[in-house]
Amino acid sequence: MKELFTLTEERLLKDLMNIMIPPIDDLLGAGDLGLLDEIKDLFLKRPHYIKSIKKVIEALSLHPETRLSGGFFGMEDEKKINVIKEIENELSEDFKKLTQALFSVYYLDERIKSRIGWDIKSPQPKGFDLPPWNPKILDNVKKLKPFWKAV
Amino acid sequence: MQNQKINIPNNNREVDYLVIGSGAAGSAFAWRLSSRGFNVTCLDQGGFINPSSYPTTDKNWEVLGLTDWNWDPNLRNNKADYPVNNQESPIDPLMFNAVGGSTIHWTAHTPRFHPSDFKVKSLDGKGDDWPITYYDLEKYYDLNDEMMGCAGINGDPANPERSERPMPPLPLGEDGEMMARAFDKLGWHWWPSDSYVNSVNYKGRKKCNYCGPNGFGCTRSSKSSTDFTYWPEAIKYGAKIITYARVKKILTDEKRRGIGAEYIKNGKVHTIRANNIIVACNGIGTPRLLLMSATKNHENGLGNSSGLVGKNLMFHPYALVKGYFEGDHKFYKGPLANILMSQQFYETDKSRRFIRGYSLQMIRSTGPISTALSDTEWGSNHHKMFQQSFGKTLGFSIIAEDLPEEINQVVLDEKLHDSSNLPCPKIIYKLSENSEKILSHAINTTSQVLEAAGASKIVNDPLMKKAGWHLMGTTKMGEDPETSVTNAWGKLHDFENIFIIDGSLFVTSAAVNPTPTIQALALRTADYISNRK
Repeated sequence: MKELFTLTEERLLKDLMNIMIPPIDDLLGAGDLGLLDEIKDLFLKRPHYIKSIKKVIEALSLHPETRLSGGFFGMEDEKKINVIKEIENELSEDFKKLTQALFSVYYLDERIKSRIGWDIKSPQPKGFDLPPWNPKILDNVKKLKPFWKAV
Repeated sequence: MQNQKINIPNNNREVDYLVIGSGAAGSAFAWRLSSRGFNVTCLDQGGFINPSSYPTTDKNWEVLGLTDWNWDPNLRNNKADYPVNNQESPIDPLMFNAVGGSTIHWTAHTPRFHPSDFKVKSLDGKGDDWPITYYDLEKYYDLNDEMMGCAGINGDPANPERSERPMPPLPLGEDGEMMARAFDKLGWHWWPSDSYVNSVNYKGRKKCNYCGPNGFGCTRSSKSSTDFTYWPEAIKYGAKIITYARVKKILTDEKRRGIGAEYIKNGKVHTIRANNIIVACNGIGTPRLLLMSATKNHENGLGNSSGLVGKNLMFHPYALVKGYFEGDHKFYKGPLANILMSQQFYETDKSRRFIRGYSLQMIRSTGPISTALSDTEWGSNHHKMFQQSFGKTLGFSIIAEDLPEEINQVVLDEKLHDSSNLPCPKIIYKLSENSEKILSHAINTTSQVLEAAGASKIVNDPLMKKAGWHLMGTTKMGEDPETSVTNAWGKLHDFENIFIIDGSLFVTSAAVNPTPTIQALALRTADYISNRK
């Protein structure tokens, strides 16, 4: 099977992911958590996502600031962030898809779920418990006089 | 997704009542008429969905909500969907195409119109009056509540007295009670939401287990959708459904009569003859079909002698106000949007400098991916923002009444076609000044509620783009054929036997979710038809 991303694209994407979701506590940034394969798996059947991600990568690579610096990887973080923000403005829909893909795989990762205290595999079949209906809560509002307009 | 075993009529067979669209309205109509012994066949461009395929049992459920199960047909792009050109609208129309229609993909929040909603012209001098009243629909609201299963409680001071709901209200939860107390503090109205969600076991369906994201189809059938409320009953009475059948055009003769329809199934065009045609394709699909069915005698589309087919499109403009609460909360526990509603500012008050008003519908937090996408930014602040918002936000969606305006409309797009090469609808819509004033007022009042509830930070989205859930007004009913498309029973003025039964009929939009009113209208038309025989 043809690889979705070239090695150069992968390198840039990992770097981008680390900036978008940086390390926290003892967890590495999103790019170093091995989530790139998850993006490939999850969005393989949704080629428009991959297409958007590739577009963003290309725009980042071709940005004049990137070229002047000899490539995205070699730039200072502050410069990288400025370039990313510029591309986010220019390619807002594509960048939105990239963000959706990244946030999705990040928050689906078991290490992250454990950190944020989300121990739910899926909403069903377990659901949640709620305390039973409490009719006393209506005591105050029931004191309002009917105010719908009769016609 | 998979097909259930159903009765499929022979091609070219003549049917008595041909219903196009199997959603909220088509299903209610088919059940009522078939239960009275009429011969009913329905065409739907989608199929039956196996509830086990709904996203909420999948670990990727939030990703599926962004993609394959998105509310927006343009993003979902299923086989049964058609694209909608929404480039000229600040609100994107949302819908679902399958047996059950958009009742698969709704939160089943089911308030009724108010009596004043039917008399907007008389009361407020804008829009038009409906040719019917609240009381014409009342018994059909009751019947629909029973069939779909309504949870709620009587005594609401913002609405007329009504029959007992079949089920008690859903529990408010600690978060709902906290918000109720905030309204009490302000002396403002609130009331437990009416919902077509089971608070107890009902008609063989289990009570809700409060999983949260009930805007998806419900795997345990606790949230009503018509594929398992009306349709099984209708099929038992002999109604038939032809699935994955996309209607190309309604066929007519030269004597003001519909004679059937052409539809596309498996790439082939079929013809079905019918004595009566009932259109229930929603506020966008219905005008699209009427416009696509133009003939030499009806060059501008069927039923369009008034020139109003597709015009007066109404959404409910939605704004969102969200509060952040400090502490260790898990506000994602419980149905997303079936908690409580306020109608404190529903009726016109001239001191507010706008007419009509709005409802507030409380909403809970969502899962981690949705939270990250809606409440955080990428970069160095990401984790902090996530921590401040995940499970810690409560808010309100503001449902503003939208007034009818002819410039807001559905037309056929000249370039965009669906997978069957049929022209797609294009939406032309502009938010009115009145709606802007309503939303602005509502953002202010809602912020006061959240403040009273103790929110530490309040944010808003002044006009939600992905919020065109309610599609109304595009074949409005009325007495005068020059100023309306159908009569008070939904019959096209220009034809003897073609009826519209969906939200297209709405003369005004009210400020509540429209489905119970759509279904009540469909049941009423079914009774009219069966009684005239």
